[in-house]
Amino acid sequence: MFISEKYNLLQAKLTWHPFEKFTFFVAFLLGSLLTQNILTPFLIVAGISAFFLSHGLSLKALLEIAALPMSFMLVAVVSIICIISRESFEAIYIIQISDYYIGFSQLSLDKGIFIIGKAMGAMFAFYFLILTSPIDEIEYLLRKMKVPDLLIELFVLSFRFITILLLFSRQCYLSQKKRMAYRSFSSSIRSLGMLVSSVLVKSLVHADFSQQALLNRGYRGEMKFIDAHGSFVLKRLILPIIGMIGLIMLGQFKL
Amino acid sequence: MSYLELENISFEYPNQTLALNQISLSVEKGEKLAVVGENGSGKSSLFLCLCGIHYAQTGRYIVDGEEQRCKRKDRNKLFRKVGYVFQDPEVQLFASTVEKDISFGAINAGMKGKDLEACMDEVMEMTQTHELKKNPPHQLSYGQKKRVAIAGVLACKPEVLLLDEPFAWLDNQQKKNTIQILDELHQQNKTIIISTHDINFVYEWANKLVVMKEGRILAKGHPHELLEDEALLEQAGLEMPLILQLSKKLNLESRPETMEAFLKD
Repeated sequence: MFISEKYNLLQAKLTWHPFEKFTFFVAFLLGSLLTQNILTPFLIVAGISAFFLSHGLSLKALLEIAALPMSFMLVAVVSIICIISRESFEAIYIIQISDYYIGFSQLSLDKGIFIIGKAMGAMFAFYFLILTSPIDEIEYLLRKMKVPDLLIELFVLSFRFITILLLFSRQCYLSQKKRMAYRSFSSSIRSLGMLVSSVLVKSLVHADFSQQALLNRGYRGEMKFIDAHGSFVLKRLILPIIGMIGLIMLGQFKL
Repeated sequence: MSYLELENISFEYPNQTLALNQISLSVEKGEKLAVVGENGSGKSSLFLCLCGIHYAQTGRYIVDGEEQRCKRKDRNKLFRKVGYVFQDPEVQLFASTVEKDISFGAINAGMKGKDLEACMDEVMEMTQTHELKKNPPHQLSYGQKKRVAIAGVLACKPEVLLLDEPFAWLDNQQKKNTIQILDELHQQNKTIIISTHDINFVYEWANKLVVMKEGRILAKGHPHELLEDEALLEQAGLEMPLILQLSKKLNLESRPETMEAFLKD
């Protein structure tokens, strides 16, 4: 299941216009990426977390989504924090293994924490967007931003296909599992291969039927839908823009 | 002339499977036609030809007095006259919300502004999909998906509605809802053609029946007559409707038209 589907309670509660949400997202993203200090991303993460919690997301769910990118981030940051050298260096912690000195200095530690902060801020900005905007609002934003129709249609169809194929592969996996298909390593590999090939065949057949269904409803190479989001009041942008300027300015202070 | 006319239509798939073999059929406006037959008898292929997705290799297909040729232009016009609801709603629903999916066909049919809104309201009212309009299709139950799929086709305002196995995998309540939609469409003088294995429903609902086998039409006529023909039923691999079986068993002289009427008598 997609993260936006799993925690879609925020989407139902928040009735802001998609552009308002998007401007807040840009404010948080720029605030995180253009910062020179650790305080701004920390404020962004804390602010978005408080917003999520106040709108009904449980602390457990919040920690779960925060932990999602951690494994990738820690691997990347460890390579920045750790210093491996043939010569000894000024460090907070250092060990010698054979001819090499491995450790981390105050500077590398500061840099690592700063990068983690920035990345978490940007990540939470994305969470803000995907947890508050259903897929059709994202599609609406892409259309309004004049992204080529072909890419938007690919995005819409891919999302739909992924949901169907995920469901199908889950059912297929369960049916295999109930017949002991994953009892040993070799049978697991074989079963996984069969699962992948059946998903591929299913997707081809499904695509064929979908095309027939589209043609049956007058598809002529262009997908047009009703615009259900109404007009946007520019006044509603004032707060996110002030927030954006404030966060970018705050980020310029070297603390 | 009938609204739909098929004259000696044959259709063969690229793998040389002859799906339709010399089919001739005429359908009047406002008719309730049921197509029955075993799996692989050609029902779905017939529907795909009727809605212009497949073009027959031989024969003539006439809709509302206009002969359909193998041209894209014909298909683009045909979708406003003949709508097809697929058996599996998953293949039909593709947009990010129910509302958008329903609007797709209506916009392609040239509707916009107030007309579009009125059309959307009408079909959502009829199919009871109003409260689902903001939901993405993958969050719906199977019955809801089926209703949205019907709404999406109805939004194109077709005169003829083809439904392939409309009751497959539906629970009793969802089946009743679908029948209610069909009845409402019939009151609007729409032509409804369904393919189904539910022979009891066919007996009660349809006013014309087509029995198919191996790409050919075995028989066509009123269901009350055809479904009493035991030789035909055996040849087509069909069962006699329950009402007829019971009437025969009880040696009733009259044949009740519905199970409700049977139970009342």
